[in-house]
Amino acid sequence: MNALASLGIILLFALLAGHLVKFVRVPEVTGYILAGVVVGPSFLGWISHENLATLQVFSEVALGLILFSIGAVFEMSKFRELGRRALLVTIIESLLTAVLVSGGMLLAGQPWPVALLLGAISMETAAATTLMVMRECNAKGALTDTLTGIIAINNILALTIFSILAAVIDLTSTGHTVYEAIFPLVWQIVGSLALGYLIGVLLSFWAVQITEHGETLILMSGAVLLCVGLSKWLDLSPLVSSLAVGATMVNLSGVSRKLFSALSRTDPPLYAIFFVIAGADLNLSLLASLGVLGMVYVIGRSAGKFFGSRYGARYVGLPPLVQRNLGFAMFSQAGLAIGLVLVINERFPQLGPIVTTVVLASVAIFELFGPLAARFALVHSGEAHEQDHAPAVLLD
Amino acid sequence: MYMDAVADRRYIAILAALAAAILIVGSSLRPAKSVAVATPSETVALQRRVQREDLRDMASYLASRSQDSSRHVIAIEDGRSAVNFGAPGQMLAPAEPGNPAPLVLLPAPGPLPIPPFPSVLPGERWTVMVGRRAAGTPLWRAALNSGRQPAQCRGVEIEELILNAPLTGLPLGSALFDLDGMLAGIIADCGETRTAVSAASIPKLLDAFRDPAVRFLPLYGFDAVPTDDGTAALFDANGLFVREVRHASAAARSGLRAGDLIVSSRDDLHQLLSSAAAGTAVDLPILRNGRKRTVPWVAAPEPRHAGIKALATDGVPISVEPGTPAYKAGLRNGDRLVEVAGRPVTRAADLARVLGRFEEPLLVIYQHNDSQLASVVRP
Repeated sequence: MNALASLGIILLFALLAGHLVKFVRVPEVTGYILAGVVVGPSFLGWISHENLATLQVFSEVALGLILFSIGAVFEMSKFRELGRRALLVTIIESLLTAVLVSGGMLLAGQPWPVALLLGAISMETAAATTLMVMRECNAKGALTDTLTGIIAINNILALTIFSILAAVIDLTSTGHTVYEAIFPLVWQIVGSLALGYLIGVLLSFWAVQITEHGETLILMSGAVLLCVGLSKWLDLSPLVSSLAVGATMVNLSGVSRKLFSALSRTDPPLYAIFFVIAGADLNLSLLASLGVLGMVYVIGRSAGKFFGSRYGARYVGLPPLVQRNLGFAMFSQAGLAIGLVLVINERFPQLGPIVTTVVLASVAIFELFGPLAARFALVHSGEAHEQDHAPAVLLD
Repeated sequence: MYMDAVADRRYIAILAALAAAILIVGSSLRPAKSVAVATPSETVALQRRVQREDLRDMASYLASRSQDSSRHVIAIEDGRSAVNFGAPGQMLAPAEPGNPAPLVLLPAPGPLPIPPFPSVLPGERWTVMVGRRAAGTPLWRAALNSGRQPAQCRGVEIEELILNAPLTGLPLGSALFDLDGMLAGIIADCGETRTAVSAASIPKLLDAFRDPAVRFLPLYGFDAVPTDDGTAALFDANGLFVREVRHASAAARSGLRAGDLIVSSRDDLHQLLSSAAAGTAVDLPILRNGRKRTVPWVAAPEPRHAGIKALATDGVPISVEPGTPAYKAGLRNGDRLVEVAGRPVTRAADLARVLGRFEEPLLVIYQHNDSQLASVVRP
């Protein structure tokens, strides 16, 4: 099947699955992912690996848009109260997760680079999945705000730790100069922030001149495409630069709210594509090869995320409702983890097979059950407002 | 305060310039994408694996080529093999034993799956030799063909293919194909050994044994040409006009004479004489002096020998049987040979060499009772 037809199938199946899962009170995201699993190479095979490779560009754009929205959490006036707590909770839960996973891997007899890389990857909580669950639930409240902040910081932290770790492994193995090892680390953070800032400034000043909704959309699409595209071209991190665009925009432009709401009304097809592709990419046959290492990873990460966020939230004095429920919302894992696995396969091919198997197999678990847990957390904290069907707008 | 500073336009401009500078400098400082470096042993192991894969691919490729080409190859009797050649419905096959020709053209047993193909001159390239001993799976072998060299096939100058694999084990008449499926040659019995006859030489070889003017004289001792308008008018018939009959040849012993007209085509005559060589009694229909006659063909040639035997290995004293050509020429027991056919004879091996092909009259110089004499020994 060609790429266009598979795109059509993706959209229609996403819609169908989204309707079906409402009956069983499962998040739409899970429905999309399940639809992807069904039409993807794992089951029906209507969408081939070639199709997925062609459609990958949609995933990248969708992820860029999602991170745009998440970047809005860095609004300075709000973030100063929220930020310190979110930062501390993130550090606590991420470190606990990393320590549990890495320690488990070392006990299971893995060499230290594999153990530490898996630990770094396990720190990441899927931004897109979690955000989509919040949107679908139309969630508002302390948990939602904290969660958004944590997710934004968490992704940057996971990426930074991973980059540092990669540089260390580069330095201890042969054939790499200090420059070759350190440069990507600095470049990915500093360069991505610089690019995101530039595009954010461009967007902010241009958006003031525009009043029409259609033109706003064109501006936003152009900016996100430029941001993701330039990031890939310059070997930067699209994740950090997209976050930086959102953060810059929300701080500089008075009309940023208009921009974000314009986006959130028009991007559902892209998100549907994003999650169906993510589902089609899940290799369920890997679950059979999960093995001891996979179990260590899944259990270590779940425990680290759950108890880390719980005690982190208590430590920084967040409301009890948040303390009780935050842990459930942190399980999802997807895009960035898979991206990091690709980086590992490229930079450390000798470590690739173990890490790839463990991460891809457990991503299949976390990506299917993570949204369920997140929805559970939102509903239990009383922040879900599903009954009103107004378009979901983040942080409104 | 803080927000004002962040939102100040000058501040933004400075930050934006800084960001642009970072991007420009950073992107120019990016190290080239490092490639994973393999250790020497890994490199060797990888190379070996690739090479082994390549060889496996090559073997399966050659097998598929031979399978393809085997459509042109059929089995004929006696475990020989024949190949589609030349014109539709025509097979090139090794001749049956006793036939002087190494290769013959046969009618194909039925319509062939695909039409015949042009033969090409092989260069330095791979060939597959394909034969069939019986209906069913073909036998094949791949060989590197590194060129051609001149060779003799039953007295005919041909080109043979230089191959790096032996020709034994495959049936006679196995065909050699290049990897494009073109016929490169055929395995023929050229007397002492099997030869991979180049496809370019096959027409020449077929012609050489088809033309009676070339082959009848050395084989049977007569020379015959097809009738032209003049001779046909003279005999009032068509056939082969006998121009020469050699003394003591099979033709002469059968009673054929120069001036006879053999009422036959040359191919038929060839077949006829071939079957006679194989032991069948054959009568040749001829016209002599305007009358029809038959000549009973005497196939088995008399052993021709001069009647001289060496008595010792050195100085070559000889024994001469009475009644033999040598005796008739005057040689006697105890004579010593000096020279035969212009060549000095000092050892018994020399005698064997000069007498080995006793078809022409020989001038013999010999020592008889202290006097040196010369004599002509006639077959």
